[in-house]
Amino acid sequence: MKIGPTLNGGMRIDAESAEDWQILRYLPYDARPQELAERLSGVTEEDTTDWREYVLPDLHESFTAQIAFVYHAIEKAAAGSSEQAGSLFVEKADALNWYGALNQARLTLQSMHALPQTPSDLEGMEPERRGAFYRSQFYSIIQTLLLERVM
Amino acid sequence: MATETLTETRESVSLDVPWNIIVHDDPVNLMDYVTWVLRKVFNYDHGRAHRLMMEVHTAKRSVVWTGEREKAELYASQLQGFQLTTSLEKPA
Repeated sequence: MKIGPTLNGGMRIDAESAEDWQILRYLPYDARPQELAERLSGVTEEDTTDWREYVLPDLHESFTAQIAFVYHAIEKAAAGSSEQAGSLFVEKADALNWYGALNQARLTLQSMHALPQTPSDLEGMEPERRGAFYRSQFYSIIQTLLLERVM
Repeated sequence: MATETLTETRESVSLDVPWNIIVHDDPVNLMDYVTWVLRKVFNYDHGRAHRLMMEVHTAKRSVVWTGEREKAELYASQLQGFQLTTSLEKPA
């Protein structure tokens, strides 16, 4: 898989095989809603009734929409290339949807697996946790590219 | 015997105290992203946004804005929309 900026200020992800599409499909799966919106309200002594009533539904809707957007973009690009080598374009206007979905995936993986910051003890890790670590690193690299080149 | 009811109205006026918006550290959000969000939401220059981000990173929390409650709630919901862990706090 290759990822790089485009001339029009977006980003292009080149999937080179069916396996690459499978890797990309992990993203909306990993980002599946995990009560993220609830966790974003920090510890506060104030009554959160209004927040739960007015803000929380909007956050849920916004985060779910980001995941759905990325899911459909990946599926459309994969179908367009018959699940073989093909490209997926991230337009500048869609960067925040992508960044948000990637962030949700990393937040979810972090909360499920308590991932380390550095790959120092990967050998002793359970395969599932190790896979989560690599995916989280992969998502982080895409986020960095989005931040530096697109957003 | 007739009963008379007296109604007394008392008015109490207190000054609206400023509220703090706190951004909390988390293990996922990229440092440059936190800076980017603070610039986007508050229109801070890069230096100020970077300084606040570093405070979040090192002190685990930072007061990123102080002001009237209604505005604070709006800003806090925007920060949460960008997936930053945020809370409101009345200064002691």
